[in-house]
Amino acid sequence: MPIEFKNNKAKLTGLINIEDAESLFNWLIKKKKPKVDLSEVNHIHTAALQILLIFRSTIVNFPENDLKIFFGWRDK
Amino acid sequence: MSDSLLEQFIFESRDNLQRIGEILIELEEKGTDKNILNELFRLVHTMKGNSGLFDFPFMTKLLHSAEDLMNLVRGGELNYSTEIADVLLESMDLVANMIDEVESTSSISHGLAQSAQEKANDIKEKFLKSTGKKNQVFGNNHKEKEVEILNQPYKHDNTLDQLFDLSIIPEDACMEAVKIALNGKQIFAIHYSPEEECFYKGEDPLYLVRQTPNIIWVRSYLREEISDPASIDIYRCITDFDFLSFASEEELVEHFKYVLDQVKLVNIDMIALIIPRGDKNGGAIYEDFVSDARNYLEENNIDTLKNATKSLLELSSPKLYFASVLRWIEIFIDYLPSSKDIIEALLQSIETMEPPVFSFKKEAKEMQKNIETEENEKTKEKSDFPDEFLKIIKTQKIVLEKIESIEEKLMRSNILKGVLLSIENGLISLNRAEIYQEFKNIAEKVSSEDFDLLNKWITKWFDFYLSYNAENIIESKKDIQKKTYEKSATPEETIGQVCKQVEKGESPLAHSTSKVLKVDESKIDRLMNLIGELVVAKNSLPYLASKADSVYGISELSKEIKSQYSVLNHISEEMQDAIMQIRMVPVSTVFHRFPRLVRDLSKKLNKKIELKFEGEETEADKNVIESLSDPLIHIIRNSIDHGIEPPEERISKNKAETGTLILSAKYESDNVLIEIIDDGRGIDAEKVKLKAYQKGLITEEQFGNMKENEAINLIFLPGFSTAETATDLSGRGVGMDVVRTAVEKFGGSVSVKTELGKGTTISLALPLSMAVSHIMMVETGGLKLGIPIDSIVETVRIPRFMIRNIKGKMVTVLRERLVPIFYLNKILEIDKPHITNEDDEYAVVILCVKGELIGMVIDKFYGTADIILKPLVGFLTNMRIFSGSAIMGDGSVLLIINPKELVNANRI
Repeated sequence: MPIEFKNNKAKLTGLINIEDAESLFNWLIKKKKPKVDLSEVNHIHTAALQILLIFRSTIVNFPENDLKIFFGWRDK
Repeated sequence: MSDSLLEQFIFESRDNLQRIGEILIELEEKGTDKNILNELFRLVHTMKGNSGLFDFPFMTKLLHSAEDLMNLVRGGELNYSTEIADVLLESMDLVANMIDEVESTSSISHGLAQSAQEKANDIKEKFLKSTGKKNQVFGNNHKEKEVEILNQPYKHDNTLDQLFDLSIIPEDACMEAVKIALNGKQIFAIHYSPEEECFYKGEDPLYLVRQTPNIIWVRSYLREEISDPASIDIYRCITDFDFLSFASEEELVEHFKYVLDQVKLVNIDMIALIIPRGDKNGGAIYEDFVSDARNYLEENNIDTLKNATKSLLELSSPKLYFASVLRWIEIFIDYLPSSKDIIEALLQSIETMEPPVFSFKKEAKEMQKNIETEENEKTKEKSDFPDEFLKIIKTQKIVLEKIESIEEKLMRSNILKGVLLSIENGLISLNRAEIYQEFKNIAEKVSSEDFDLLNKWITKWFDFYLSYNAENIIESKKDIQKKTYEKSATPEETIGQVCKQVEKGESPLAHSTSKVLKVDESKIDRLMNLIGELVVAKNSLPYLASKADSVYGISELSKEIKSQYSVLNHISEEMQDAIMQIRMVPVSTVFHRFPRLVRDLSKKLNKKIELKFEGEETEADKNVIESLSDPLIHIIRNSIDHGIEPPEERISKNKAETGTLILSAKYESDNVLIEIIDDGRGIDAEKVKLKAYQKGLITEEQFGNMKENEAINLIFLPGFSTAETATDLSGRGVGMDVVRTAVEKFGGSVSVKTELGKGTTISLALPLSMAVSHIMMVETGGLKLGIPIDSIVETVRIPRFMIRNIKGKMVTVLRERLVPIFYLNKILEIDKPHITNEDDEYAVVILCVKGELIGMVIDKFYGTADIILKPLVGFLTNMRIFSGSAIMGDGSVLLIINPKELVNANRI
């Protein structure tokens, strides 16, 4: 399971494809203050990224690969 | 993978290959055209994409290489040459072979896969590598240019503002980019706005952006406000990307080649990235620094300046605007003295607390200014209407010009509707009420027959601007490329999209004609059969009517049935006509296969040949058109091989160096007449005669008496052709027997006209449609038979005594001509004598077979009928004297005679 939902936190792991975007969407709708952990993500499909943007989700851990620059993280 | 998907792939690929072949030849003849190149690229790209759905790695690989090569040609990096055409044509042949194999065996054989692999490597070796080197050279040039960048004037790029606001880029990213630029790299700002439906196409824009080479900074954001997240369509892409990269333009264009229309790419000057930011509450201490720094600069005291900057930075809060400027200065200190002007501008910015103004190199700036004002003037001239709108008008004007050449009325009016709609949409977005109202008035008055008013209206309002645009059509390649990126991204999306279509060559005209529904042929055939059944069922009504009258004696009912019948008859005729129309295809579908053949053969034989088409739009039944393919190949091959002379010979004969081969098609009553005309040597009747005699095909007596016309027809004799090929005599003959057999099989005929030294014309006449046959019904020995009307010359009554027996052959004299006669009963092995009328006259049908008259004695004539001919099946196929059967209205089966076979069977 690439997405693990625990209370108010979703942990995304590995490859998040377009089908996972839907379950992410359904989860985010239900939660009031959802948090998203991206530390173990390799890649997320644009549709999933878009959902994170739409819900302005709080990201608790950023990706550790080059994907992080898409979330405003840069190597100093 | 489902079979139907594979079937569709095969079907579509064949269509695509056909079009690709046509385009490749077209390019070679007419030179490179951007629109055609784009179409070519799209076709190959589609095929590559489709092949990727299946497990045909070698096909995909080969198509990929071909696509790369086409991309280079499209980008202008390689000039289209015969060599490229050869390679691409050969590659497409290989793909066609692979598709044939896939169709028959669902896989690709090892041998073919290997040749595909070799071809792909070949393309890489020959073309892709050589340009790769070129790119490197380009790269070096850029470097040299970029090192001098500091001395270049700051160029304010308008397009940059539209792209995105560079101040959103964080300072550290800006600095990193500037440092990279200082090391001689070009920085590109890229805005990628994926289309909404891209998810459905299997695209993942984020992935594409992630893979972009040399990304410095990126941001992704929603391009529209979402008020209610719960109601969104999660599969509609509304995410945009802005990013900076220091990859080369070639790399970026290559990377985004499939979404170029959604990407804006601007080469930015690093100066545009020098954006100091922060809290502007500075103090007096900074002014001291500015004056000190200026002194250090004057004295070229770089180290001191560096130290002063560094220590001041340590003292200042990093959030201040001042600190931000200092950080920028720190970067440029290492690049002194060439960065002196930049540092000066930054120092000024500390004094003014305004963004730095880089106004150095006055002369250069003046120049730049001049160019800009010129451009402004030009745009002012045009400012009445936006460019995009003028483009629409221009395209519509072209379409209007083309409408006149379209004969089909419905199509004309549809296209006109499209034109009006496009202009109307353009005007709506223009928001100019007075023009819009005037246009509406005119739009009501025009019709597909008369749209002069519309033309005048366009001239009145836009001619000036359009002629201005026309002058600007010739643009350098780079300009066009650049414009494509910029234009496709202007905010006026609706208009922009229309323009994109225009740029891609998809004018509304092309669009309206290509609106085609592809239907499996078997479905049409089924419809056809059903209509055939309907005709048969309908034909039973007259029998019923007469039965009602004669058997049951109800003449009222009989009349009613007859009137119902006429309604039904009318409808079924219409239906039949409609279905025939569906099956009609233009001869161009088969003609367009030949440019390739002509090209290849003429190259092989070192001859110069121009192939011309006439009447390509002539339509005939699909089967008829397809039956033409093989005979035409033989004839064209003959014309090129034996007919048209080599250039030297032609010059010595005072002929044009380039031979002409014309393929013409036209209607002739119920037939379509195809002519293959060449201006070559012509056929030498004497040589043909001699050859036929030598081969023992004609007797010595025949040899002596034979007229020229008859002699030429000898080329159709079986056996004649093979002798010709073996000796390669200068006459024609290869496969003419094949031609005649094929054409006659479809109920057509073939004839030759030739003039020695001037050329040859071969004419093929084929029925427009093979679905309905006109026949005459006759009776013989109690059996009803049908005879195709087109082979009947006349029907006569001949007195018994007029038929004479000469050496066992029956003959009669008809209008002072000796006509051979045969008894149908005898041939059909019906053991009954023919019935004569009360005047002791035989009923005789005079047939014309292979240009000769022959009389066929029967018992009775009946009327004519239109029937749907069904070929005989099973064991009956061998009964060649019948071409097929038809079911009549009363349910009986009618056999249709094949006169040619009948005469052969009689050995007359």
